[in-house]
Amino acid sequence: MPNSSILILNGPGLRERRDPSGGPSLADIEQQCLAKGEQLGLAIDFRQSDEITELARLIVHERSQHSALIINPVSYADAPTTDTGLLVQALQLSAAVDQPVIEVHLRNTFLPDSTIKHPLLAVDSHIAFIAGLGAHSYLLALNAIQQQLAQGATS
Amino acid sequence: MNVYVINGPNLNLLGTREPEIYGYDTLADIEKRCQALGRKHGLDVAFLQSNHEGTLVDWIQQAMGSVAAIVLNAGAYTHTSVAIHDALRAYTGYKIELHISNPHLREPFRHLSYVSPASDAVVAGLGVAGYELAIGILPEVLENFQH
Repeated sequence: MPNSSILILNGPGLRERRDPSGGPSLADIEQQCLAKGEQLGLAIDFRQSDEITELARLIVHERSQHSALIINPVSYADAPTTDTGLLVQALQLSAAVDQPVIEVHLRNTFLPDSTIKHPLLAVDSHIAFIAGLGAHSYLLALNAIQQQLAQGATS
Repeated sequence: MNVYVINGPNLNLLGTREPEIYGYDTLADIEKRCQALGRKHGLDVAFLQSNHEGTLVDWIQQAMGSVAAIVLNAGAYTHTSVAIHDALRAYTGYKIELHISNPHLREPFRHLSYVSPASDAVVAGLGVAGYELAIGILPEVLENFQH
């Protein structure tokens, strides 16, 4: 039985996303995350929304019910905008929740042709960043979280 | 399959330098664990460290053709070295940029990376565990990788 639950939030456009290079769909990624979760003993709550307000709401209201947060903010990682501010505020509001947070991106957001120019979650916190591994960005994040939770439980 | 883990300046001080940021493990501890994990996955891990920019460039050049992937923690040269950027661009194997802390959460002078745009992937902020996590994911990632 899984004893920790991980909230995975996916930002705008990911549900419809069709990778021309044949990359995984969000449904594929969800399946891979669920399988990895099962392997690691982690329950996975996998969500997507095109609405930044909904993502912010999920962070503020549901983060505390989970052991860790993985977020793919997609385009909201772009330079400071009101919308980005909303996500950052949501993270700050819920920062009292001491738990691993990992920002993930499918592609390397720093490639010259990337449409995403700045990591979003540059707030004052211990947020990790994984980009460019495709679906494996999520799987690596889950491996990392499992380790951190296991260490936290023994220390 | 050969893998280089290349470490830049000051990483030889790991375990003693600002452990609240970088942790208490020494680089030798991490090397041992990475090589053991590599063996498990059929990867021959060469674990390298230098404080000298040119030596890092030499190693990246040497990797060409015989090394399937580089995991590079270029340390502070990340934010200054066009030479490392150019060497990485010339290297056609798989490249993961690695950082123990997340540079984007630190001083503004660490926000620009010359390594990121020349890498396939970026892993930052997972502590020293990031090394093993990166090596652990390599076999699957390399399976689907072609330049």
